[in-house]
Amino acid sequence: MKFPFAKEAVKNLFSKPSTENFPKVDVPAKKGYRGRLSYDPDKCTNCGLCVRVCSPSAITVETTVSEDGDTEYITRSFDMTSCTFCQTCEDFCDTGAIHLTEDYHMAVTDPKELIITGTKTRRKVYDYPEKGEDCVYCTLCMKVCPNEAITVDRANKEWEIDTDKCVQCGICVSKCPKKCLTM
Amino acid sequence: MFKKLIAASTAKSPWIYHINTGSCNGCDIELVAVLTPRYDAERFGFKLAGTPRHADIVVVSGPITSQSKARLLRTLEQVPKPFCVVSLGSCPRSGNVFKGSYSVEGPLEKYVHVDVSVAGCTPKPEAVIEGLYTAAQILKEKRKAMAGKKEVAES
Repeated sequence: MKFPFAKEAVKNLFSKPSTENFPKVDVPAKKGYRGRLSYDPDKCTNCGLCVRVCSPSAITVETTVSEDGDTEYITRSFDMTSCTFCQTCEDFCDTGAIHLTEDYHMAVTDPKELIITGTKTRRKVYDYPEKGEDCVYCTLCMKVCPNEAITVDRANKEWEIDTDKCVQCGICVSKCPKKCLTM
Repeated sequence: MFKKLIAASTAKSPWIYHINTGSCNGCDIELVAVLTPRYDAERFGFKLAGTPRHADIVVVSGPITSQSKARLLRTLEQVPKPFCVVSLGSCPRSGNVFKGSYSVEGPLEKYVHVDVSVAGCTPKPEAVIEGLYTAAQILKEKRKAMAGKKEVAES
């Protein structure tokens, strides 16, 4: 008589079960898993790129100015019930303020727990980037501007900034190859 | 005594009915993975029921599309009370990337109270187990409340 799976059966009889003992023993997610988002408002420059690249429009921004007009409060809320966890916001974030952590415990009874908010407080400045004399009209500042506030005309050597659109993130200043932009 | 026995045994075997309302199939696969030997939700008594009439927990995945809306409502009417609704993934909660579409009639909260929402796109099987376990606890509370009401009505 032949027992084709006898060896396998005996081996499995003395081996550990393959089932994860999950609620008792916490199972960490694999490296690079995209879970709950973490937001650091201190690193944020309020450039607004995350809002623009978010495909399910899960990110909302609310800006309030204090009564004396000196301080700005910028509140960003990330709705995890609307998120696709595509990580595009993290990839586009210039300063690394957004990070998708490996925390996947997101089963809640109150959906408000899944909204991640952070408030950035900064001095309200009326200071916008200015062009220096060394400008070669390379249009790089126009390309990196997340809010399309800068327009550069190469042929006529004109440089213009729309102060309504500018959020004073300073990305253009840091990316200028001639270091002629100042803020 | 019989009633107590039934209550104790139903509390330990919450049956799931899964309805796909236009999901991309990602969440559905994860829910099925939960019932496989690796994650094994049947340890807690969860079992996929074939009909909503046998179900205690309704798991909804997908943004509610125009085509599936009527079916969803008909399904929810057939589930015996008390029951729990679990929303799987981002879609039933908000519509995810499909929100604003002409054929999406979500979110699910418009039609029924969602007891547990599991976030993720798709949620990890462990997160699904967590959500179902929470739903089972809520179901227990609901049953107790309902039994209390019945006793009051009888006396």
